[in-house]
Amino acid sequence: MSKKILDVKHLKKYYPVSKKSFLHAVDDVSFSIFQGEIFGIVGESGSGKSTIGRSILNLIAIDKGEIYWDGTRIDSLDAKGMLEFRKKMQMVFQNPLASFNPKQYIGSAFSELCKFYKISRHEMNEKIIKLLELINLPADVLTRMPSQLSGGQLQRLSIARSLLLEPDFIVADEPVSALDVSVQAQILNLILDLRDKMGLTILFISHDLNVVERICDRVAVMYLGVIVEMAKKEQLFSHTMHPYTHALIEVNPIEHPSLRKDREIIAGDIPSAVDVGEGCRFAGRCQYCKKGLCDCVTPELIEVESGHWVACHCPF
Amino acid sequence: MKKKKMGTLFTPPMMISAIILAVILLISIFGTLLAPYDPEAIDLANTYKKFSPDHWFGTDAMGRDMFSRMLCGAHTTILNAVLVVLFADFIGVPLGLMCGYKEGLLDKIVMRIWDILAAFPPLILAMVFVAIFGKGELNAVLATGIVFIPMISRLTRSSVLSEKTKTYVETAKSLGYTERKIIFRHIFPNVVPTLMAEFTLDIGYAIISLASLSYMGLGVQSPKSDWGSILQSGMALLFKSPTVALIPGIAIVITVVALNLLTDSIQMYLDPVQRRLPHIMKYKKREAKHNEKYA
Repeated sequence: MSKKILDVKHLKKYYPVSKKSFLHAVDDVSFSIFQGEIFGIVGESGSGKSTIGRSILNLIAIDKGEIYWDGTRIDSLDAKGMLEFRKKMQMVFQNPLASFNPKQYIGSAFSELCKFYKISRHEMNEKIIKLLELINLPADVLTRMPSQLSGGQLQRLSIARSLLLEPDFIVADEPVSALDVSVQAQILNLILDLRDKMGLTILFISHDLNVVERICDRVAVMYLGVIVEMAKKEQLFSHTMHPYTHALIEVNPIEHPSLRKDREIIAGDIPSAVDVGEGCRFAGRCQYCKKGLCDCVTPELIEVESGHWVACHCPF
Repeated sequence: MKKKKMGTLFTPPMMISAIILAVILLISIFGTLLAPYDPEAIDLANTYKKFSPDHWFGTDAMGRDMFSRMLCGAHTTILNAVLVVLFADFIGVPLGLMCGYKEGLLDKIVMRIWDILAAFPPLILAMVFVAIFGKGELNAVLATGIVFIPMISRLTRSSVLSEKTKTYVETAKSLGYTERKIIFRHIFPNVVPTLMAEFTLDIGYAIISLASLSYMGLGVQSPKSDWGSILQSGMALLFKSPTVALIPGIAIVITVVALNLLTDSIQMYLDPVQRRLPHIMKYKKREAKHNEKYA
């Protein structure tokens, strides 16, 4: 197995709701990402996926826990100390139109970044041309304003911008969910392509299981701020262990009508993450919930089989 | 080709207001040279004259030629109003940017001070500052400018607050840009349209504020006069010779309306979404240049 490149240990992020109650956005999450893999995080809205992505890049301050990049602790670094790691870690956001300054030409957004990191003009031109070739866009997009380009073009440009500094690691925060399906496929292929060509490691945040199944090597399923199941993609989809993951896969649309069958759909909505008590967070919606166990004792995330982690008292 | 260019910045309202403002600006610069009479020459034989070829705008209570007085007054009025707003923007905008972006102790302190200042009517406040600095033209400008600072920095701050939640600011942070760069290179250009609107609007307010101070004898000192002091001197003669008050009033209205029209056009132009097919030619040129370079 290749080496660990990113290590997240006991990450906690609480947002104060009032003086005494807190919203547990991310509650004691630990995972590692290995070099060259695409690690997926799936979950409903509000499960804390994006918070994890932003914490890793130090865009929000975390409350507890440690984040290690290649052995160096980065969560406590200030802006100056972080600068060195910014080159290695980049982020791609969900809304491609919003992630470009609306008053800036695309070209100037690229050159600004190069100037900031003191890349020479010559090298910059070469890099930009190469990247445009890679994302398959003509050079004249550089003379456009963001509002003049389509979502797919902008998302490719936003990926290209994040690659400009030749990072090792990219956090892709729902990079395709704002795009339509045909464009989604283009972007996903581009991401896979980049991983193969540039040896990138990618943290892929998504709520779409199909996308995750298509692109990721390992997947973590999040529910209400905790990881409930984490496994290799094949393990996760063929041997689902956590009832929540099971439910997620169940509700995933099936393309062919004759393959459709009756499916169990979990009742209710994701509950509030404010002041979550002891017990399994999924207990309230889980049909396998054991009274006296699941709603009292918080299940630990344990390795049930090689590489397959589950936080459940009664896994399948 | 030319028609397409007309559609971008040079819309009809923009053209009209720009021409009016250009004329007013020229008058305010060269007015003193164009005046047919000495604006301060008292001619008691010719008081309250109506419009005539000799006196285009008539004469006032002391027989002074209104046309000459308006021309010379334009200089003082426009220059002082622009100075007021420039001064207020120079201090208010950076302050608003910092407060809006950092939102810390500085923000709290500054905003509370502005709250206190806002409790007083602006004119009273300006009078207080004039009382502190002493009366006179420059002090009136300074006092009005100070009164305008809270308004401008508040507006800047609130625009920054809404801008900084947008993803492009987060992107800039994730790229490692410094705070100063994010504030001035990324957020500032996006609040400029709002500030432009405020700038031209404020010039109108400044004209009125300065006029009020002049009326009370705290601003422009006699015999020098601006549109405001002429207007106020006409108030007493409203029934005897309404033109003395009407002419500067109309001049102020035309100036302010033209400023507002211009603001609207500029704002529309600066907003790339509202802009009608911008700079097709410019892109074509850039594209050609680019192709040349990398051919």
